[in-house]
Amino acid sequence: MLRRFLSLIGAIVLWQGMAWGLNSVVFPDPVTCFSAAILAIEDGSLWSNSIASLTRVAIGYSIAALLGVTLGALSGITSSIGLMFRDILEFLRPIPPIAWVPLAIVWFGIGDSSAWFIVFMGAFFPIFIQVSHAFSTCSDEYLEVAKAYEASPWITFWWVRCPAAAPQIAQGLRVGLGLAWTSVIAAELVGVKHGLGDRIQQLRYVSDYEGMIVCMITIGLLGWAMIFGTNILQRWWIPWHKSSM
Amino acid sequence: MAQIIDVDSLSFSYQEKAILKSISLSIKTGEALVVLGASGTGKTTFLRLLAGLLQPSSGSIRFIKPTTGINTRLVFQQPRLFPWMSVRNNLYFALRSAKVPRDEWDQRIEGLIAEVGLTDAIDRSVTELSVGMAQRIALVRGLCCQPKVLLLDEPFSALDPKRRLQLQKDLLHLIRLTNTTVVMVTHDIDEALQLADHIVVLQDSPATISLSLQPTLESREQDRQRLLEELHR
Repeated sequence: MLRRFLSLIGAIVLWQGMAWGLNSVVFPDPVTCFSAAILAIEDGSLWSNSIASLTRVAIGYSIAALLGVTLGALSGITSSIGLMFRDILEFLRPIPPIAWVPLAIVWFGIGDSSAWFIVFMGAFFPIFIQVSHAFSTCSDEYLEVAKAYEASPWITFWWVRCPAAAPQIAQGLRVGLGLAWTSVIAAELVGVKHGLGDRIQQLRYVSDYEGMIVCMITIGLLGWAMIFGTNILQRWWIPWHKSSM
Repeated sequence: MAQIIDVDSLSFSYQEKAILKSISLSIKTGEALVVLGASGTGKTTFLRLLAGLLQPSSGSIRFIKPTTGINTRLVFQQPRLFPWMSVRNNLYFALRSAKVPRDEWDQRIEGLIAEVGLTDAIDRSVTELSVGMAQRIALVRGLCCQPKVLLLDEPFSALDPKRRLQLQKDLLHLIRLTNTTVVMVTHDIDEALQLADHIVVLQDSPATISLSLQPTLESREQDRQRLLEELHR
């Protein structure tokens, strides 16, 4: 804990030192940024834009998680479905979410729908692939117990396959959430009104560099909070992870 | 004693390699049959065929009447409890799979758990159990389904000598208490002599039954010598 705190202090000191050294309006120091943050909190812009971005992530990510887990499970358990999906997904997976922005604007117009789509594209593939892998590699030891005890397919799925796959599902959901967050910012930078990405773009037009850095720090903090929260959830949800009898 | 399983000319091949060849034997109700053999003689394969995890290449395994109820339950070499469940839920899993009515579950497991001295552990996570405790739970998991035949695949091999002795005592106590027929495979002659009413030795490749005997306390040393000679033949 102390080391983490000291590294944070070190980074701020380094930032301050660089700002003094460069002495440029395009590289504001931490104290100026702190004042800008207070202003942004007081006028409500930081809050409203954060909420706009988080809402878009919540919607796009929920759809991606629902479809990614469902289709991933189907694909992992049923090898024929898995093979059917594999090539299409391997083809689509490397396309970065931001590359979909122009098409999303054409298809859905400028607005939330485009952002949801970009978030979905960012989060879906890692979730699908991780879930599919988790179900297809379920330990034979556990499946053999289910077979020896004559468990029905439903009991095997619900009580054996799902919990056995849970650590990898959680990993996929966590990676997907990180990518959903970066995708929404990318979408807001070019094609959506309101949100932290759009706020950065607006502040750039008025050369408010402190305000831009405040938005960037907020993006980082919210991303960190999401991963921190999912780690806690994972520990609570799958406490048996990395142990087996 | 009445016959419970009739194994007739049972053979099994895997990828064209013969593992078991023409095994015939009958297992009687309430007896403890131990299948003895060196590593790689197809002991586990034989047990898996009885458990229905493998299908014979030829021959048959016939369960004699009554045809209702659960034929077999297998206790593996490792406990293989599900780490995401408590002890209680691991046992519930077995009962749920066996379609035992829900209101009978607690009654089925509580007596058995008490017999192996693990009542206090019933709501603990299985990740908190020692290997010996976990293997006792695995035994209870098999027995709580009240199978006609309990199959044991070297269930003591992962234990140190002290725990092994304790678990052997627990097993003997439980099978006498529940009057369950047992088929156990092992490569340990002393374990076989301690637990068996009937011993068969699997030998050669593909394996056949090379010796069948019914050990008694009086002939124990002679039986031991015969088994030693047979295994090192």
